[in-house]
Amino acid sequence: MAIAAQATQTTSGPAIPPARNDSFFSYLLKKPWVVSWILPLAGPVPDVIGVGPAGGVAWNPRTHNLCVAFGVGASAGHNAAIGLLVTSSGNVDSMLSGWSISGGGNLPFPSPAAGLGWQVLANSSGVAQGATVGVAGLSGSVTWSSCANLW
Amino acid sequence: MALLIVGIFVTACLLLLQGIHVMRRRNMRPFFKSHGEPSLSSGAKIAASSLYTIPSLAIIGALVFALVKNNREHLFEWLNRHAIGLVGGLFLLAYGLLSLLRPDVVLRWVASAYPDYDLGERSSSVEQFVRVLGAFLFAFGLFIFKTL
Repeated sequence: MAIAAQATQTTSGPAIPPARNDSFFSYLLKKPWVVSWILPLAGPVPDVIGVGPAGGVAWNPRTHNLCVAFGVGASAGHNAAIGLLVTSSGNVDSMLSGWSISGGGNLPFPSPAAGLGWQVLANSSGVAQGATVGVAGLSGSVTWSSCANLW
Repeated sequence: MALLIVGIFVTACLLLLQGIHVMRRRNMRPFFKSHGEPSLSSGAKIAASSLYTIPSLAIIGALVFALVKNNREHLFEWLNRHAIGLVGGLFLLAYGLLSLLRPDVVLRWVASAYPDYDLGERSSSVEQFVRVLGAFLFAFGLFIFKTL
């Protein structure tokens, strides 16, 4: 298994339009997926609002890189979210590996438990961002991630 | 450049909101605080409101003038290239600003997702916590505009 940072393929540029013979759905499926979580164990309202361990799992279907992240974070309600990184300023695999800072927020629409929102992930390799579905609220975290190239 | 323009536009919008708030509520409290009793006379209300609305409309006018005077094709080309980043930056900026100024609104949203928890929505420590997170998201939004 190779470390993702060694991958050289740029996987997600700024708003790349779908190819003519490619559906929008399959275009989205080729974008990296990120599931992030925070467990606010300590704070004003433990389990809902506070600080605690944070982490996430990212999967890049183009390069077959799977990344797992751990760190610390703070959240107000927004304890879990899933989404796509639709745009990035560089090699998304480099952004998903190593130290990074991330933040995001979700609205209580269409449902407070699974509302629409946005997430941003940034490190020295660039900035990646995309839409999410998650618990209503907002959060921020600092994590370290390791990636493996599965095939 | 995007950061500068967005910063100016957000400032103009906040000034305009405050101007409308003074006009409607007839007091000088900030628009994001709870509404107090009307305390200004009609003349004072118009004068106080003008302090905010005239500069905000002047800023918006200057931005529109710059848009008309400069190459619009260049702007639309830029918007086309950075549409997603712009939407994301604006979302975080707005969410961060709302959390900073009206943490009670965000706490109501959070409470709707956790109906079995008592979030102590009036507690100042809970509001301060949401405000800090809001400042973080707001800074992230500005950072996105800096990278565009």
